[in-house]
Amino acid sequence: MSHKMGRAGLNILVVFVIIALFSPFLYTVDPSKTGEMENILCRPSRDFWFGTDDLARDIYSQVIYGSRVSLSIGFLAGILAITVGSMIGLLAGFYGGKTEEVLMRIVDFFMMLPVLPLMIVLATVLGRGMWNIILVISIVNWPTTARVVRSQVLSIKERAFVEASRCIGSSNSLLIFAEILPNVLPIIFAQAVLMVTWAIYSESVLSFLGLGDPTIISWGMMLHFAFESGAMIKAPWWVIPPITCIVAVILGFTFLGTAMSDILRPGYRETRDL
Amino acid sequence: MALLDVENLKIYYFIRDGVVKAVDDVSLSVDKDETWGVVGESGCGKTTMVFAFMRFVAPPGRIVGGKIFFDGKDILQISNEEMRLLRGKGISMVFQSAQNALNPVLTIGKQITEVILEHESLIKKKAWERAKRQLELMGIGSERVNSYPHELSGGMKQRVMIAIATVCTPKLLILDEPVTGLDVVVQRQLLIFINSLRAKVHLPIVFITHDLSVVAETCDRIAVMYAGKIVEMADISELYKNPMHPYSQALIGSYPSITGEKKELKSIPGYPPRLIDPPAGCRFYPRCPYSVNVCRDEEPILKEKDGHRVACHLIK
Repeated sequence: MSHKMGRAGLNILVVFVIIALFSPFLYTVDPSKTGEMENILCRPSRDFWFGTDDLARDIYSQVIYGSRVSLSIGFLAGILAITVGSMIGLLAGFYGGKTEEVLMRIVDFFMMLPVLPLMIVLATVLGRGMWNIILVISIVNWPTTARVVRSQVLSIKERAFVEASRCIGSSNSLLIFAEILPNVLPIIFAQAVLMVTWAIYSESVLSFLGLGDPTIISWGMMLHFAFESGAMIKAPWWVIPPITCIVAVILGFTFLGTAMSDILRPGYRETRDL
Repeated sequence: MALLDVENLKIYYFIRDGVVKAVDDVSLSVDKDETWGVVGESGCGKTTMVFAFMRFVAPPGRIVGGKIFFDGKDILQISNEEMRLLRGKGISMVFQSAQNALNPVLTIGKQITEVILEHESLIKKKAWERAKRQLELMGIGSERVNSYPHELSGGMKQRVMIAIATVCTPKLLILDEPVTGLDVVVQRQLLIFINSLRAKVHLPIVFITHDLSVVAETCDRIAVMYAGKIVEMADISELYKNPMHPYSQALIGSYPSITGEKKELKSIPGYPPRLIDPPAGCRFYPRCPYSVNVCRDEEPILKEKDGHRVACHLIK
C-alpha cells in the first residue's frame, strides 16, 4: 500500500506520538522549573537547545512536555466528539421521523451557537482543568459530525442491500452497526481526523487566550506566556517551536485523513494500479 | 394445509392522485413441494404481492384486506419481532438487482455469517465454517469468503444472494426477478443452478419474473398476473400447451419458439391500464381481441376448468 501523502502524514504523527510517549526521558530539565536570574531569555545554546523564557525555563523541555498535553487533549476531545456525533447521526438518519426531528433540532441548537464565545464562556464557567477543556472542545465539535454522518446514513439506508438485509431478518441494531456503519466509516474517519485537528487547534486557542490550565504546559500555553511577557518579537526562539509543532501535527493529521478516506474505500487498491 | 396460503389479498397505494390498486383480491396457495412462477408485465403487482409475504409494504402502500397464512400462522397478525425472526428463517427472499443488494464494504463471508448469527445461536467460528460450506454448495469456492462484492461477477453475486437467503434453511424462498439484468449465458447457468439446488434441498420457491422462458425451466405451477389480479393459474406444461386466458395466450404468442415453425411474433396492442382507475369489469378487456359486452360490465371470477383456474367470461 503506497499513499505518499498518507505516509508522510503518518511519519509526522508517529514522531510526535513517540515524543509524547517518551517525553519524561526526552526533556533535559523539569520544564516548569524556573532557572537562574542570568538565564532569563537566553538564546538557543548548548545548555538550552531552544533557549529559555522570561522565567528562565527551558523551552526545549517545555515543547517536549507540551506535546503530551496537546496530543492527549486533541485525541480525547476528538474521539469524544466523533463518538457522540456519529451515534446521534446514525440514530437520527436511520430512524427518521420524530427521533430525527428532535435530535437534529438539538444539533441545530449547538451549531447555531457562536463557537469561540461559547468555548470561552464554557471554559470560564467550568473552570480551567484539562478535562474541562476536553469537554468544552467536544461540546462545540460534535454537531458537525452528527450532521455529516446523518446525511450519509440517509443515502445509504435507501440502498437495496439494507432492504435485502432486512429481508433476511436483520434487526435494527444489526442494520445500523453492521450494515450502515461500515459504509459510513470512511466519512467518520475523515471527520475524526478533522475533529482531532480541530481539537488540538482549539486547545491552543483556549490556552493562548488564557483559558487553559496554567499549571499544565501545552503549546498553546507557551504562546500565551510568550504573548503575556511581551517578548514575542524579542525572543522568536520562544514562539517558533510551539507554532511549528502545532502546524506540523495539524498537517500530519490532514495528510493522514485524506489518505484514510481513500484507503478505506473498497476497490481503492485495485483502481490505483490502473 | 398449504405452506403459504394467501386469501383475497389487497394492497393499495394511497397517493395524492387517488388509490392505486396494485394487488387486488389475489389468492394463491403454495404447497410444500411446489415451485410457483408468477409472471406478468412490469407494474402488474408481482413484486408488491411477494413483498407482502414478507410484510414489507411501505407507505404509501397498505395491505387493506386479505389474509396471509404461512405455516399456519397469520403473518399479518404476528408481532414485529416474530416477523423479523420469520424473515430469513421461515420465508427468505432474493432481491431484484443482486448487483446492489450486497453491502459493498463487507466481505461476502461476513454478510453470510451475519444472517446465521442473527437466527441461530452459534459461535462465530462455526458460523464462519457454515458460510464456507454454503458458498461451496453454491458452486463458489470457499476461499472467496473474504472477497468483497465488487470482486465477483454478476452471476456470482446472484449466487451469493441465494446463499445468504438459504443459509438458515428457510421453508420458502422467494426469487424476485433473479436473472433479470444478467446476460443469457449467465441466466442459463443460474437457472440450471437453481434447479440443482431445488433437487438438493427441496425448497419451495416462488419465482417472480416477466420472462416466460425463465419459468418454463424451473417451475411446476404458474400464475399469470395482469393489472393486480391473477388471471390464470395452471401447471406449467398445461399453460404452455393450452393457455386459456386471452392474456396468457397473447403472452405466450409473443415469445419465439426455437423448435416450432417460424411465425410472426404478436405483440399485445395497447398498454396495461392505470391501476388508479382500472377498467370496470375485466381489466384486460380494452386490449382483448375476444372481448364481448359482458366483459365491460362484470368482473370475471376464477373458474376451474381442465386443471386451470381462469378468470375469463369466455371460459364456460
